[in-house]
Amino acid sequence: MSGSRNKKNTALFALAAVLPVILLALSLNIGAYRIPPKAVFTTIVGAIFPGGSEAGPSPYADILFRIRLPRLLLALFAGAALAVSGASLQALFRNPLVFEFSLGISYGAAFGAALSLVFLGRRIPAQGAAFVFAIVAVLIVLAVAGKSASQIVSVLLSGVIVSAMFQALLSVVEFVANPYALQSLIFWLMGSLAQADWGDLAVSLPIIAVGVTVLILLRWRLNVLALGDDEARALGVNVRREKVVVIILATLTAAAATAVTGVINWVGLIVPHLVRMAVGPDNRKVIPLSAAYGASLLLVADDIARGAASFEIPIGILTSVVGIPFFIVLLKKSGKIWL
Amino acid sequence: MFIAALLALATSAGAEQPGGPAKVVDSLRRTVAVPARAERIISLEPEITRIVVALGAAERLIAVDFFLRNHDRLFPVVFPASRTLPVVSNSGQELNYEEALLLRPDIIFASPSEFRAAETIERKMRTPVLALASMGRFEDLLTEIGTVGRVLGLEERAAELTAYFRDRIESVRRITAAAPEAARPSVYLSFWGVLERTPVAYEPVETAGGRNCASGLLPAYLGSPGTNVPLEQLLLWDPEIILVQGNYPPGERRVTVSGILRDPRLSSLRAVRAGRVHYTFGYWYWWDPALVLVETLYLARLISPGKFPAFDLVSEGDAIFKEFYGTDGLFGRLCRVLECHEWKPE
Amino acid sequence: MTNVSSRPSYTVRRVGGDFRPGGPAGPWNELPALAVANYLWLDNSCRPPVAAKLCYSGLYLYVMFRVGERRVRVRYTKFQDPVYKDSCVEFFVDAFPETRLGYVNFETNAAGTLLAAFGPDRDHRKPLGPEDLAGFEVSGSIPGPLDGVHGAEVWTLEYRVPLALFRRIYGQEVRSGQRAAANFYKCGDETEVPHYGAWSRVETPAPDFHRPECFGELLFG
Repeated sequence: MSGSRNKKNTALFALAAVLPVILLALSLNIGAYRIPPKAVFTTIVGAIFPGGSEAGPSPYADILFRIRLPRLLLALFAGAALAVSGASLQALFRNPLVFEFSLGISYGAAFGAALSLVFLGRRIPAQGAAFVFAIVAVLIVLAVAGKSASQIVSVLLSGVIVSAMFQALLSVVEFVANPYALQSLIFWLMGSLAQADWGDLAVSLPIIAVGVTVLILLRWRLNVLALGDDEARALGVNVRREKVVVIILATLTAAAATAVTGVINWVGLIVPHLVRMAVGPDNRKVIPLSAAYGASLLLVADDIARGAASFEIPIGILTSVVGIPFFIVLLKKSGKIWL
Repeated sequence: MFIAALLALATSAGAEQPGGPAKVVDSLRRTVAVPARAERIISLEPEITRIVVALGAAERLIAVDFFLRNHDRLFPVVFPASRTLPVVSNSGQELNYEEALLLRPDIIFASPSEFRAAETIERKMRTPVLALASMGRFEDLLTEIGTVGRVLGLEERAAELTAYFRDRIESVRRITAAAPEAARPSVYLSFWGVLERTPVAYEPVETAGGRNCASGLLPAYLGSPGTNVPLEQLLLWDPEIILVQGNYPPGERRVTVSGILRDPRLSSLRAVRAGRVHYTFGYWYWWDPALVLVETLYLARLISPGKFPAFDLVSEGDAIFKEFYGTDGLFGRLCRVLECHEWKPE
Repeated sequence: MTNVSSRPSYTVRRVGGDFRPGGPAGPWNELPALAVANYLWLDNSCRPPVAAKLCYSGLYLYVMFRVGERRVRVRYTKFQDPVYKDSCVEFFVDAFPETRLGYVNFETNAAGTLLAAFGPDRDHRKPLGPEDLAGFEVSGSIPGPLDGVHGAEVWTLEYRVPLALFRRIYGQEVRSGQRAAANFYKCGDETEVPHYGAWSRVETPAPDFHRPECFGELLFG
């Protein structure tokens, strides 16, 4: 019996390694501009191994390298970031309903973007402001929780309060915004990978890569922290410090993604739970698998967002439409969820 | 039978039943009974407010909306007394019902793009509500001027403005209409501060000799003038000219001409390679009838330069604005705010 | 004479029903842990952290260890083998110290191989037989002999001791309110880096776990 479980785990890991790559290759073929698959292949190969005859910059190269590839890479990295961040926070707080939204990251980022889009104009880009305020939100949460920052309830309650505060501030900004800034803001709030360009990725992707990697490396610690504060302390872990470290890493990772994509909720909730349902609660498996399957899920969602209709469906709406029913089912079953 | 006749007559916008309350069909295809001569007007639709002022009935406005008070730089100049009027809507253009009831309007104009606003207001206020907007088409704008003129009892003035508008437009159309469809340069309009948002109809472009890439697409919803297109669609269209909405101050613009020219994703577009990326006015909560006329002349020179002699845009604009609003130098003042003296057509 | 008030204390909570060691129904998540953190006698950096938890029912005393040790040595697999030479955790308990009859030592390596004896001190110990330990059950995360990494950062060991053993030795029932004396140890005489850890400090100059006067207190709740 454990043999068949081992086989299943091995299969899941093997799939996790190849699925994002396969989906990336398929997704390069999806888009309003029809490019024959063969042309996709030759254009990419031609870019990696230049030297063949070129008749000047082709629209295929522009579409693939300037529009599709940055967007797809953003989907992969953002999906991994949100899923790993959610999985880490759920393990840390031993609560299945926690994800980046619960710590005020989403509304903090939204408020930052609102300030930029409405008041600061091009002086400070929305991405930078969103990132900064996501961090500010979590720091406020930790400060409000104070000495009891290692207590789950305190941090979650603080997260609720801080989220509400930023939501209110966001409403104030919306109230005074001129209609066009308001439209840009609403567009941003719905979440979209359409604005991805290499400049944004150059800043976000390294942060996400580092954050996801370190959280994967810390998966052992998450197992120990998940045993409970007492036991973790007995096992020599500085519980308060480790919790703060994980919270800050999860925040940086999720904030770097949210700053570029806008608010895409529910990925950090859905993916870790699906992974746990398949492999159990051991974070040695949950964290790395969440990264791979989170990346794949967001990539598929983005393919649907841009390929299903002639207009662009905001991706945050797609993930909400799937995520909210999932959340309700999870709430009803949460007695059976184990961490 | 009487009702059937009424309904039959009311199927086209602006239809009237002689001897009874006038019936008007608005932009949302609602048939509304309007008073013979409205004296107390609330307009939540800036385009209509501007038409009311142009018709010379500014003193009948008993309130002003949030947008014109807080975000429009031209209106306080066109109608300075508006600063003393109460503001009856919030930033979402929702009507403050208590304030409005106290003002006892005869008629309320609403924007068709505000969801269900017209029906809700009519139900609560028991006052006729007309949802009117030109949606980017001249004929609809002119019909609107006629309708508002009828409602205000100022048909003569309305006819005068309509004739002037038609005359100026025809002077451009005469020259550009000769070009076959295929020879017209393709034009992409980026409006509303987002590169991918574009109006599905914008007649100044066609009148000026261009071809709107997005014409024929469905709007995002009934009452909306525009839609969102994926960036790849823009690359597929490969427009020869890109027009960016510039009808608000430079510091607030998120999509800019220089931004588009520098955007590596757009570098393969013909418009970018030829440097034919320009500002135009576009909407500012629908149209100002004088400004859209100026815009058409400006675009004619931009899109079909060989066909139109050079002219001083500011002088022409001032003359058009004087025809509508009776004041000198209005367009020049707007230009200083928008910095459109830099928009010289080639 | 050691100062009793400086000795650590742990409350052994009573659980409602019995469960199998290593099974899913264990109440461990809700129970407090004690730490084996006093590393003694050797000045090396080898101090594997150990957390232990206890609870009891009408029939059994349950003990659980979690050890933060990435590399382990397990060589001995037979009952009463010298498991203290392997990666080993130990539980010494005198359930009724007022009787002065002595204490039981339970020594288990990471695979659950047991060495157990009873007596008043180091030199007068009588090994327990299989019949004394009828009902004893053990479960661990390391299945068998090993020398090196076991694939995780932490290994776990759980066992349950039939309370009948204490009835047979002391002639009394363990009841709520009973104050026992005990200590918990971690050692590994032949592991890569030998080490000696204790819950309650042992104030001797040389390694000696057989010091009942240094035991801490277990209070049965």
